Amino acid sequence: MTLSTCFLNQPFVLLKGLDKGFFMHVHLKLLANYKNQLPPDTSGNQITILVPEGSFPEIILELFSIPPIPESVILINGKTLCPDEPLQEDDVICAFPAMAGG
Amino acid sequence: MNAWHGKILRVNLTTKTISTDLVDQEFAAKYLGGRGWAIKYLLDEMDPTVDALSPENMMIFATGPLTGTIAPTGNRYMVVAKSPLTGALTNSNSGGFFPTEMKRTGYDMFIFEGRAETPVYLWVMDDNIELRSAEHLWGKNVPETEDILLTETDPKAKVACIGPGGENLVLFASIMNDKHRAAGRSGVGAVMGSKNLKAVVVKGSQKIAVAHPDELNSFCKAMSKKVGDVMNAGGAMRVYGTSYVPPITNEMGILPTRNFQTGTFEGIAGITGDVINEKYLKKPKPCFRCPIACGRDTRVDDPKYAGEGEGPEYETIASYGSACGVDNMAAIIKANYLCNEYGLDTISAGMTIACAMEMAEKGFIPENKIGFQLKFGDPDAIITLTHQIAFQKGFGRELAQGSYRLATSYGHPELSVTAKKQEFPGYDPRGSKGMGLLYATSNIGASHMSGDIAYSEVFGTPKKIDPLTIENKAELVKRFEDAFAVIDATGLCVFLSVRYMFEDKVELWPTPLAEVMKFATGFQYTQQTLLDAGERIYNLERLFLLRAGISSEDDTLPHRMLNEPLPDGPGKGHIVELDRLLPRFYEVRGWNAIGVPTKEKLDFLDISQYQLN
Repeated sequence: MTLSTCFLNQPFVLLKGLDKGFFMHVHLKLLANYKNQLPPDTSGNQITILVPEGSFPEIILELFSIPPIPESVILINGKTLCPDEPLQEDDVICAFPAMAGG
Repeated sequence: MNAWHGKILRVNLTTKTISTDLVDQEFAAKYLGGRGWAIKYLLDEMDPTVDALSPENMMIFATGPLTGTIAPTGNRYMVVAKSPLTGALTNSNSGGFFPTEMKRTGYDMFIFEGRAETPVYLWVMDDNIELRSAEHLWGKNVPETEDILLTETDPKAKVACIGPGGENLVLFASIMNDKHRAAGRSGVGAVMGSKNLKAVVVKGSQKIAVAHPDELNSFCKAMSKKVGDVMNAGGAMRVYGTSYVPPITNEMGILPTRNFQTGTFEGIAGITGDVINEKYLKKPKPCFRCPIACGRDTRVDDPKYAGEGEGPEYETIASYGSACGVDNMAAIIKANYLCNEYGLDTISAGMTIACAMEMAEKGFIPENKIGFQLKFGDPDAIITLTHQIAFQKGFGRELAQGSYRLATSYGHPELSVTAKKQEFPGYDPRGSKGMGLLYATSNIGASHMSGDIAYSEVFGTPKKIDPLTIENKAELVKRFEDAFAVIDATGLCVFLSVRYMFEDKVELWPTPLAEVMKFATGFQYTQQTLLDAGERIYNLERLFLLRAGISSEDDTLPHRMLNEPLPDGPGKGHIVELDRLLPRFYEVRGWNAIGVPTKEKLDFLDISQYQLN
């Protein structure tokens, strides 16, 4: 099963009772106007999703139509993304548009 | 002359005399304008050791060559003087519409010297210039002042003025223009108040000539369209203004919380841009010639905090919100409105209150001094104390001196989170270490606007870099400081400039900006000569500080940043390794080991005449 197939066949909610097997839970937090890419019924700016173990954050963000770096800033657990580093269980992927300060 | 007028208006408030200086093209080009021209005049004409609130302090309003031109965001001016808060220099920047109208009077810069015997305001309509009595305005807040002045002068004039904050010499009083825009930092409003100068009113009809209008128009219109298209498609700066920032800094663990005790705020849900948009936003608001429109027209209907105005910006949300432990956005917005009406710097006001909150909770300030039990998280306290600060009443008298003097007076200077006595802005440098070096080396005390490396460490512009490392940060901070000096001197806004006037590489190479400056001025600026001019400006400012008695001992950070690791968040365990960053910074700057520019550096920058003996 490919990652994209996995996504398209599953609802975007915390899945309970599913045999995790080769899957893991990660959290996707989209800030600023990226928030609009989350499912319409999302409360707040974060969802929990089930992804295959060893997934890379860039792939997940692509599925949510988030532009890649450098147009976006991607944080993993609040820290700068390290390229080629796969996600771990319970990681928080945070993305927002690269822009000016404040 | 193109882009510049080459004319400076001098106003001696003591003798009530007005005169004009002319500058030549060589001077104009070498020092760029704005911040660059102003520091040259300060170094040449005033003694940096004078009391900042004495008549001997010079106060300069300075536009840049691109102010008022077709360059997108060419709408800024700077107020430059010696600061009463820090004892160092201040250069405080503002946009809106006043700077462009000032440039249209035919003057690039206004210099104010001396002190008027009684309150006055300056009215400039091209070459018709008057000093008029402002005794009927003294005591009025900023909006009232502007409304009255427009009926006395011209309804289409633009106004920069002080409110009660500046009149009462609050050390972090601001100068407000267009009612809601602030030259906020370092007490420029107090300098203006010390001169009994209530307002400057301008209306101009002078054209601003440019060297190559067709090329400039074509280049700038394309850039404006590009930026406008991004914003019109839902760009975050248009949708949120700077209020998009709190969730970002909170996610990174650098949102100042309870006087920088930590960098993550449990009340974050109450202080986001979404809260503003859902409950308080009327519409976005642009400055002159700006395709971004990051300004916010807002209104609070809650009777307890009712008001209408502009803002809040991120810095105010951080200083009056998380830094004070307050998650009540209506109260934060009300505090913001009060600061604008009274003319107070929201950063220093909020952060000083936060310092007082920590000291009160720890028992270092007796309750009878404050008049009530002060603690973090009290939304009413931030309102009450802001009123008191503006009028230096009650405990506000102590708060009006800033957190450094407050904390020192109670025996705990380590609880003042300042650099050179100016309160930190909204980025905890333990989790953004380039910002730590910036705060320590800024010529105006702690300020993100002196060279905001957070653009890269936090916001990914031009490229995202790791905020928790120190490698290469000295080099990058120097580059950001020099680049920001260039932007300030040209009269552009940093929000557009950093992203679109520089190439898309970490080292901030000003290729588009060099083109714009060539088209506008006719001078053959290159990327390197622009950056050299920025470095020249920065070094002149440093020399001013050294002559004022500020030394490398002042290039430091508070105890909390150097010795108390962040307790949680992604930066848990981190401090600012300034002992390693600062020597490398001096080296990169071409200074000696005690932070003094060397002869070689000054020769290179062609400012050898200012070498310290």
